[in-house]
Amino acid sequence: MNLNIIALAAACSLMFIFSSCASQDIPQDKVPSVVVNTFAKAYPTVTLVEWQKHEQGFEAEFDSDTTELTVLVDNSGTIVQTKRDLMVAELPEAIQHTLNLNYKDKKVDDVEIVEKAGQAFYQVELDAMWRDTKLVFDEAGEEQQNLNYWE
Amino acid sequence: MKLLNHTLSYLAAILFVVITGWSALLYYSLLDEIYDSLDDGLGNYKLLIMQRAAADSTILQRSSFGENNYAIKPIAGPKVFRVTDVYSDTAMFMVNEQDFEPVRMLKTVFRHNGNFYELRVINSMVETDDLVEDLLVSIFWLYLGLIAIILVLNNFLLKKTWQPFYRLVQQLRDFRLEKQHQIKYEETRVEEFQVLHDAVSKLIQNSTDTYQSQKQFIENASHELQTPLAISLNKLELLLEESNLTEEQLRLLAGAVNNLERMKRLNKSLLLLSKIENRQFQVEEEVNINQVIKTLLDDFSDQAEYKGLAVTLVEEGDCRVRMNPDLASVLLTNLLKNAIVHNHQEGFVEVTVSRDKLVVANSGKTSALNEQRMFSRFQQDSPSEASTGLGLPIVKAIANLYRFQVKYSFTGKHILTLSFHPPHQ
Repeated sequence: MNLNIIALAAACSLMFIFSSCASQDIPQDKVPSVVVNTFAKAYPTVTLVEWQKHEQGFEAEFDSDTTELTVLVDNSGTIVQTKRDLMVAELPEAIQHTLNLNYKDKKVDDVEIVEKAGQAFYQVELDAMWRDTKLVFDEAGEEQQNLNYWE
Repeated sequence: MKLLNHTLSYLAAILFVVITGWSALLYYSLLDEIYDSLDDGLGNYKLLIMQRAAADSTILQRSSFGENNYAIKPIAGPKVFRVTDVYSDTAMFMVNEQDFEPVRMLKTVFRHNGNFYELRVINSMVETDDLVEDLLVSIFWLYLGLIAIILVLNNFLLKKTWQPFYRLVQQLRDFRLEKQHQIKYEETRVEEFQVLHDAVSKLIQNSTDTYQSQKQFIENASHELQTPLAISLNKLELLLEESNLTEEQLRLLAGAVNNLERMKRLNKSLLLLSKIENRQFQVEEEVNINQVIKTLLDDFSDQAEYKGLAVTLVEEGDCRVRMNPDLASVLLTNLLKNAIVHNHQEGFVEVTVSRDKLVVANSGKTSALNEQRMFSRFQQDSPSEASTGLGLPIVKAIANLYRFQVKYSFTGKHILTLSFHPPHQ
């Protein structure tokens, strides 16, 4: 009984720490109308949306079929970029080739496609013993050092 | 108020609180649900209008509501980016009702081709005052209905449950120790009634046993004591008739006879007292007090004459009392006898009968007597051979039995007042 409570308390406090580290969830009625309406026009069928504050504007996170999508809308109501989860197998040949060459000993973990200003980029997370490596590629399989990995 | 309805009054109060609380909750949850669905509808409507604006930019010019449920106007400035979707209650003039009716309004801002527009969407809404009124009325009826149902339940169904209790009370009301009828206990599965039945039957059993043994003793005593007394007296009288007795022997024998006679009287009086207190005089009829007094005065006339007493009877009214006739005659006999015996030579006795009172006044000692001692047993002021000291106690016992009032007062003469119908206190 007591142990359960302690475990629960520990879990709660951990959750709290992590959630406060991550960017803050905010309710939809606190998000500016311009942002909400832009998103609603772009994705009219989506009902369950989680909004988060982002330094460039607001991120809307939702599930479409089985994949998770994230849309970044800036404060003036323009869609900046979108992000979608991918299977490893869906990565372009070029990128898979690069990974096999340079990161042979590392396990590919998370793969995402980011669309920004008509271009597509691929984000890959590699699992290692100590720290995960996060990489960004363009469609040609070139690593983009100057682009930030979109968390 | 019956126990059943007593609990009902509590229940009514509790129900009132509960139903009031519940109806408040119901009202708010209903309202919440209504707002929820209205706001969902408005949100959907907003989306449709924005999609239409994207296809047909003419509607961007609709700056007033008119026949539509929306209005659009261009806005600019930094505040555009701060506006969030706001749902609000407001009122609009409705043509069909010719009155301001409540509407729900959604105010939002959207972007179209780089310009910003404020969009207001409305939907007519439930009139909350009507809703409250309807709710109140229906809840009031619900409350009344519940109370009525409980009342009906109590007074028809639960009455049956309480039947054993009511029947027992009825029987207890009619129960008399001296009448040996049995109490019938109903079969019941209710534990409290079973406990009550047990308690009552134990109590009655104990009382009946005590009563029976006392009665038994009195009957035995009266029978068994009378016989040896009578035989002894008889033998002594025979002895007295012997002619060869000396003066001294005669004197001793006379003393013995007198004491035996006194014992006989004592025995009789004591038994009478016990019988009175045990309520063994069941028969009651209407006794004409005037008549009894006249008869008794006739009987005592010799004794009164012998003492030279002036006896007067004043009849102010016709006195009739419902009581046991034997006890009536014992009561009056003792009163009159008391007045005659405790009197001096050439004294007087005045008897006054009115409608519900009998007053016996007589001359005697020149000082007042102690009323407390007068009515207790064997507390004679003047011990005499003739009296047992039980006369007035018997009067008191009979008076107590019928709830008559006996009072003694002294105004130069000794007055005993017997009120047959004392005022209720």
